[in-house]
Order: sequence, then C-alpha cells, then structure tokens
Amino acid sequence: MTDATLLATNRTSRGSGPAGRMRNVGDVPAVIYGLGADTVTISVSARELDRILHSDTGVNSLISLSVEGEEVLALARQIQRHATRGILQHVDFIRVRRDTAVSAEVPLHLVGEAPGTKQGGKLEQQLFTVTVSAKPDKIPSSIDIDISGLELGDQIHVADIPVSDGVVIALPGDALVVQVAVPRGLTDGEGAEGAEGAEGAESAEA
Amino acid sequence: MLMPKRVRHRKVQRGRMSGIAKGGSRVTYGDFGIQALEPGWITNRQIEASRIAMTRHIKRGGKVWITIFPDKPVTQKPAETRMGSGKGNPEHWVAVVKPGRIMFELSGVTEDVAREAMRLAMHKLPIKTRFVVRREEA
Repeated sequence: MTDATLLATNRTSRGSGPAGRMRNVGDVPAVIYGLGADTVTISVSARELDRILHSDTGVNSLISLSVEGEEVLALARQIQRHATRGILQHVDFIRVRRDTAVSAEVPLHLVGEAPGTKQGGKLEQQLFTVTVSAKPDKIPSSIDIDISGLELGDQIHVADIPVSDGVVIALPGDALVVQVAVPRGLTDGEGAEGAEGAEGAESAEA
Repeated sequence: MLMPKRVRHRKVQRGRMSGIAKGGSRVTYGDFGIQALEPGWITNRQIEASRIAMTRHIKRGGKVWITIFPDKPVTQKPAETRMGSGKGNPEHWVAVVKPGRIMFELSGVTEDVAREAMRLAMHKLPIKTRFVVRREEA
C-alpha cells in the first residue's frame, strides 16, 4: 500500500474565528499528536483530504504529512463533519510508526444474499465496524463477510470474521455481527416443521 | 405515544434552538434515515404519525428506530382565558430538534421501499427534512 501524501501548513491563529475563515478558503484546521511528541496545530486542503478519505484505502489511509518540510507518518482520526452540509470541519492526525501496531475501526461489508431471508427471516446486522489492532500498512480498508450460507436463525460472530495475518480483532469472539432473525409469527410453524423434519430423519435412520 | 414516565419539573421554559445538532447526525442503527434540516419542536403525535406511515408502507420485514424522544412539556392556557394567573397546563410533549439531527432510522428493506416509506413519514413532520443513507466514512 502506498502512502497518500498531503501538504500541511503550520497554524498559528487559533479559535473559531480564524478556523471559520480557514474553512471558507477551502482548508481544514487539524492537529497532529502522538508518539510522545508535541502537539502541532496545522491546516490541510479539504479537497485533498476528502479525496484521500474517499480512496480505496478509505478512512484508514496511511498519510504522509509534509509539515513545512518535515515528513510525518499519520492516520486520520476524529474526522468531524458539518451536520447537514457534510463538509470537513476538523481532523485529528495521530503519529504512527510502521513497525508498531495501532488500533483502527474497520467497516464490515456483507457479501451475498442470505437464503434465510427468502424463508421469511430478517437479516439483522449488529456490528457495522470492528476495532482491529495491526501495523499501519496492514490495516484493511474493509472486511467482507460472506452471508450466502446463513439460514433461518443462523448467526455470525466476531470469531468467524476472516482476517489476514497480522490483524487482530480487539473485540470478544462471541460478539454478534449479523444474524437471520426468525420473526415471531414464523417461530411456531417453523419449529413444528423443524421438529417433524427431525423426527422424520430419525425414523429414516432407524 | 412517547412521553417520559416521570419528570423533575412539570413545566419548563421554552428555550432557544440556535445552532446545529451536536450529535446524532449520523445513521447508526439502520441503513437509512430521516434528517432534520431546520430546527423545530416535534410532538409525540407527529412522531407516532410518522412511525405509523412508515410501518404501514414497509408492511413486514423492516425495522424502525425512533432516535428522538419528546421529553419537553408544552403548556397551554385554556381558550378564552384572561392573561395572568400563572403558567398554563401541560398539554403535550415535544422533542427539540436541531438541523442535522437523525430522527428516524430504518433497515431490512430495499432503498426504494425505504425512500417511499420515509417520504410518507416526512409529510407528517412540521420541518424540512431529507432522506439519508448510512455512510461508512467517518
């Protein structure tokens, strides 16, 4: 994965007034911190940052910030957007090292169609993102979960999520991700059918 | 209808609704949502009417979340009463909504069905609103 590069300038004026003027000319006030170094207030181009955040690597893009000639490797965190207009308001960048694992929120994508939904089940997704711990360049942009095998009442837990080497999910393994819930009206009928089916199978074996 | 079980103060002042929503401006539970674009008071009757409009359209299979709660009492003086003699009686409950606030969420249906269900629900609300889809990017 190649790093995205972003030009940043040091910011001396603080407060809502200068920050608003900065946003009006297409910049975003931001801050860099982490790894025990001093906090630095900067501003970056909103357009460039938006392009990086909407790239294939998404929110967890590794960004090489060029602050007045100094290169800083960072990840974007705490991305604040305007509630209605959706434009970037402020971003926190955390300094990272390539050899040190960091935690990140990775979106979960459901792939395929669950057969259980055709039988009247309701697909319920409980988790939309998972917190993973990995080296910055190993953080996946998203994790695909195949739901094409989910029958009525089946569940997928965190332990079932496929992740590549070097990526650890920082959530309990029994946390529910997605399930095909059985609607209340369907429970009795299906249960009776299921019981009959089981009996039938047993008698056939006998 | 939605209303608090018990409150500390039966009557409260009206307050101001300046600014935009501080939180609750992203779809978090479902896949689709109704977002407020104006500030306003949403009564519990309007919330209920919107919910019914939505659930009637989606029939079965979907799930609806109401992400606002009417916790503010609104008082009214009886008709043809002279001014004075203190504040009126609590008549109904409202939720204070600011621009950007997600008020309803929906999942388990296709986007077309959700769009139509929420269009019907939006007609029950006293403010300008829009249909939004869950966004991954923070």
